[in-house]
Amino acid sequence: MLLKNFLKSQSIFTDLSDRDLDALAQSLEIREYADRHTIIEEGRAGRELYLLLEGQVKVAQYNAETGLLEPINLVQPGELFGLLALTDHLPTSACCISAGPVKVGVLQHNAYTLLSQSSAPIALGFQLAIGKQLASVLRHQEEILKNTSHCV
Amino acid sequence: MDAGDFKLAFPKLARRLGDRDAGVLITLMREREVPAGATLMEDRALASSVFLVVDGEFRVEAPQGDDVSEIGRAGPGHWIGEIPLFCDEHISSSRVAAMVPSRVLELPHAQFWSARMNHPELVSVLTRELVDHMSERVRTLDQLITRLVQQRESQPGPA
Repeated sequence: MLLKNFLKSQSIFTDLSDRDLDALAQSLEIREYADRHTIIEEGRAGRELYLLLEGQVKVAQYNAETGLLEPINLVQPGELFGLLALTDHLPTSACCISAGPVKVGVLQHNAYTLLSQSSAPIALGFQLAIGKQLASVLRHQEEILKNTSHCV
Repeated sequence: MDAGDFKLAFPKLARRLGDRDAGVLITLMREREVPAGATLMEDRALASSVFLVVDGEFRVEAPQGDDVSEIGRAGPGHWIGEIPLFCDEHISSSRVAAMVPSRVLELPHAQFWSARMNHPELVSVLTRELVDHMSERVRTLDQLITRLVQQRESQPGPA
């Protein structure tokens, strides 16, 4: 499937025009990772934004008491990850590890900065996509809290 | 609220917007008083506006059955209701209630989305502002979830 068609079929990119999708597709570097590859390490500076194209990626955090990695989420195709550290410039809050072979589109830091800070039309569509992704993460977190807090 | 009051209440946002777009934004929003105890947003209800807190304080709650747990507070300068603005189904995922008499600026979703055509720079600045706010909130909720999970794991299991 053409990358542009994949982007077009994802709900977070509905605010990007055909031309914008072409430009975004051209700026993504395609990479493939084998099973259990650590794509993002917890506690590092954010350097790249990832769009999952195929497979699943496990998001996990180190438990401060046990030192063990605990899964907190599973990224699905069409979702962005590595976003938070690029947005707020704080260290990455979790590890992202491939759960099986995966294919990702990678947007470099400078391209992300250009798109996230500019007011050009393509940038607005991209910023709205970031907003949609973060809203989806927050909704997921609030659901976890509903299910967790009443058990404590 | 006039432009001068807006600048005083939200200096960072006013700077990001510039005088012209700040003026436009004021015309798109309406001021609303929220009495203490009143619910601004109901959990799992259809939401049609996003709110900017002018003064007062709101409690953000995650109801589950009969249990209600607090998952955050929102005071002056905070945004409320950004999740349903960006999610396709426009359904709120928490309840937000005023703890004291409060005042908000209400921006209907329809105004936000229609401003894309005539005022794209304004929508870009607002989106970046909301993205910053959501990023901060993701980090906060992340810590809260970790704390709750650890608390749960340290509880003795059923006999």
